[in-house]
Amino acid sequence: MAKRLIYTPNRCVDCKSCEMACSFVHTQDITNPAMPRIWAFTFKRDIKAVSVCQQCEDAPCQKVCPTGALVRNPATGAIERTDACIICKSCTIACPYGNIHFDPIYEEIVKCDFCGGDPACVKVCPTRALVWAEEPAPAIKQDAEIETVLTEEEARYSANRCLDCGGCSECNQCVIACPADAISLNMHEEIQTQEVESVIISTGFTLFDAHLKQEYGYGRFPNVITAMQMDRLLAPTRPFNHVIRPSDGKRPDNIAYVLCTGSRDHTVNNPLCSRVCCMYSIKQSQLIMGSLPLADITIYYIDIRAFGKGYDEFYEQARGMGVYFVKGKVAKIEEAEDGNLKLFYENIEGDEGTQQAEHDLVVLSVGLLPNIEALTIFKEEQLEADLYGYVKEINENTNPGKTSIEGVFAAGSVTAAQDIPDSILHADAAAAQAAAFVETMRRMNK
Amino acid sequence: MTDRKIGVFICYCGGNISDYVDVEKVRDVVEHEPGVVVAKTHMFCCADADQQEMVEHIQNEKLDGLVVASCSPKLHLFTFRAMAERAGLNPYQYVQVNLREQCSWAHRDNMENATDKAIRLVRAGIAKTSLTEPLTTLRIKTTPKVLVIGAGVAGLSASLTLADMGLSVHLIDKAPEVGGWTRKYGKMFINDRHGNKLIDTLLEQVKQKEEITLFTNTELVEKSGSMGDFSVKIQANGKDTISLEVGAIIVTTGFDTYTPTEGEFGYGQDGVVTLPEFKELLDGSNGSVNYNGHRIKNIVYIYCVGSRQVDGENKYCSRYCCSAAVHSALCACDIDTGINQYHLYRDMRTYGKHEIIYEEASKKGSVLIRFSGEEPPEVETVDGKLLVKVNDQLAGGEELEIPADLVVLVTGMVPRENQKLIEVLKLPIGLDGFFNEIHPKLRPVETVIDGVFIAGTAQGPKTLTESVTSALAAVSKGAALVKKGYVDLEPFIARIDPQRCLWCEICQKACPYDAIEKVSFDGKEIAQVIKSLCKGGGACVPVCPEEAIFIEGYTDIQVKAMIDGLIKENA
Repeated sequence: MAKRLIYTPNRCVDCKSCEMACSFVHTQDITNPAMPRIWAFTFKRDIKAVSVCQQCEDAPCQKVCPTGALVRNPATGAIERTDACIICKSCTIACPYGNIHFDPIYEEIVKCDFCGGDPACVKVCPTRALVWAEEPAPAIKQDAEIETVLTEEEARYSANRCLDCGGCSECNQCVIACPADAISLNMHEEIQTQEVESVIISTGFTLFDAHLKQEYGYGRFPNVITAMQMDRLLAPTRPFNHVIRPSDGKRPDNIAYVLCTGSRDHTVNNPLCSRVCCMYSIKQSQLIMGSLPLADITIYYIDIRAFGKGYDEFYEQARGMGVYFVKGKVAKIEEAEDGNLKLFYENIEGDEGTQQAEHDLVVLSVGLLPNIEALTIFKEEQLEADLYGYVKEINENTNPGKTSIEGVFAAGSVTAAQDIPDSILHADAAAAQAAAFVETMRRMNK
Repeated sequence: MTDRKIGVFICYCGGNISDYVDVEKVRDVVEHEPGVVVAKTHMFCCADADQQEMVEHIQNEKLDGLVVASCSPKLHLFTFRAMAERAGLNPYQYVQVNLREQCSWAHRDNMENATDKAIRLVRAGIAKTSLTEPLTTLRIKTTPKVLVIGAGVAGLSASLTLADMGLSVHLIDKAPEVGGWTRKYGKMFINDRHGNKLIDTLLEQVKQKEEITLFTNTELVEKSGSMGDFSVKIQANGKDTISLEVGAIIVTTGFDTYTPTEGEFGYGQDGVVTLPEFKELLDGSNGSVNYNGHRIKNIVYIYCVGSRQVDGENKYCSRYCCSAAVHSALCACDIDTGINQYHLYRDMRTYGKHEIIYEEASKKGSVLIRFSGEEPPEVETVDGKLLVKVNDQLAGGEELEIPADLVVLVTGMVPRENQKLIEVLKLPIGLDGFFNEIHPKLRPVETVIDGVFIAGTAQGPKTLTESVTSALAAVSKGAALVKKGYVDLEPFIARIDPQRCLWCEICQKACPYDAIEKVSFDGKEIAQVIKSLCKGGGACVPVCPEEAIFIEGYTDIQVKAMIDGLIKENA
């Protein structure tokens, strides 16, 4: 007799170890315990249970699958999803137990496959609520025990109604879990009409998409990340307690920063300097030195633009702390065998010409681009743009932030890449001019 | 014992505190402190729902003392003060205990001792709140007038916008003419506007505004009063003194350009000029650039003169000079395309959109040579000709000798000599010598002197546009202050016990704000605090030999009770 996954509800303590083991085995991704193929629950306070595919004999999922992509593996008895799957999600609706799912992260249909005959969940179950053994009783015949929820036709109809609107299934678990009651699923878009005398646009910038700089391998090499990702790793509310690299969770000890990724670069159509990247990279390098004191950090740059108040002192401080600064634009990045990365660059300060260096994590200091959506905020009249797509300041010398539409002022990096101090000043200046404009108009209309 | 009814609310901060401090244990222990009638824990005290629960406790148990043990008061002091006020409790009977920054985050490795420390901190907070008295803020009426000091491009722009807002402006400048350095700069980056014309336009607009009174040859000589309600004296031509009432003061006194010392990069030799001198030369040139009657063919620019000094004192970057020098090169090229230009730079800081003029200069033939701060170029005169020696980092450190007709020292900005004004306004100075803001990001134009704002290059090197931007930012802060009509001052100011005071003058001498005066009381002379001037700094308290002065909210008995709470042994 074939082995089956046997489950004893009163032994389960809802520890979710099975979920963790399952997602790890199937995704090979240490960071994503979100989509397992087995689920542990607590019902009504104290009834613990797991839900996992029954591998039904006359399986509704198999029946409904239009491409025959769900195939039973004769060795294990498990129904497995094959490459014929077109992700129509009909099976997810047909399953009466809700045990076959669409994973929005990996964009595939997932279900239990008994791990090829060696289920990972069983190995980690601390109470032996889950065991892998020959079933004593004959398998339950599906039709006799349960009622099919939908006919094939109904299932297909329902699948076609799906809007594929994202991962949320409105299960309300997040609402229940959030201790600050910060989540509401009942909010709706509301359109209000307000009459105002002046408008300030502060819709910010967009970030350069690092994929576009193909020679740096972002998206292809897991250990090439953007500085925004590094910022997340360093934040006080960071997901891990350490700076780790994506491919294997190792703590990096030789990190490279590639400045001007997407800035000062005609090949990606952005000749402008993004103003903020030098400083945020230097800031991160100092934070990493606190987090990983033994790590080497190298910053590859064209010019270090530490121009603001206290900035050059901050740069000198980083040099004093031992951050290496190499003048040279990185030409391309290649992956070495162990997930490390090889950087090709020209060391401009020395006479050694083109060189290679190996690092175990590369951070791309991505630049800022205009947010062109700002230009069309007003229906009647488009805001004038400068040559690069930023909102144009029509009299930048004496009226910073003043736009081509009277009474409309722009604040912050919607007019040009700006760092925080300059954005704040620019916003305050816009506020002053908007207030002055309103007062002037009121006086004139009196 | 105490007859107070105190509520204590201890925050988990979603794990930020509770992961390292046994919050429930803290609650169990402090629950029995004298006066405590409610002691509860919350996941997030700052969350709306939890605040509402606290409000209900304050009202239902008629609390007259409140402790929230959560994060730093910098984050949520005002949140919980407002909550107390909503609940009908005097906000100054609320005490915040910092269990996060000063306890849980600092002692992540030792939960037991962190919990012990947390208990002591909360106890001290309870002890303090049980000795609080209801206090009220001091409300002052604001004067809808602003004093702007310095009539450069920043001061002129600020005055115009203030006038548009309907505020009266007194604009003063110690020079006989307005405009400052902008007048001397000719064509300016990034849009080639002419400095002189720009100032003329602004001055014309200022003259048309009846709200603005312009005083030239005038300095500020005296200031008293507090934010929203200053009395100032200005002196014109060194003799005529005028008294004015203003609600806010904006300081836009600008910068000076760095003057190289004799011999610094050859300064003093014929043909070695500073950037402002060069800009003046370009402004008067047509068809060719001539210096001392000779047509200039080769120009060498040396960047970072007076900025980013390796040995000197000016460690800061002057921000505008890279772009200004590159732009000057473009102007020179426009005048005479035959000129060869060599830029000896360290980092080309043509940030943001300035990058475009850098690229253009490079396309038009400017040669870029990078030197290291440790190996600066040398300027010599050989056979009556200037020769610049430099190690070019971009060519592997090769030593170059460049003959020059003109050497332009790209000089940076330095703080303006303004000792008198600094003394009158008590303005804070940063390490770089420029006026210092409270916070570069959050409060970039405010100073520790409430009601006194700084803007333009007085705060640090800036371009013209950036100067105007910061001037208008100061306008928005200053106008918000004076247009509100009133300002509430914190009640944590000094109070004098008239029975104990013997008027020895020591407190008056210790006060940096001139907030103590002598009055008669009950047949003797005693000290009295001028409430609108006192900042609660506390300099007067420890110097008083009679212990006759205390700061509201921080009385000696409160502090002693807090110490008792801290050192009390845990059962």
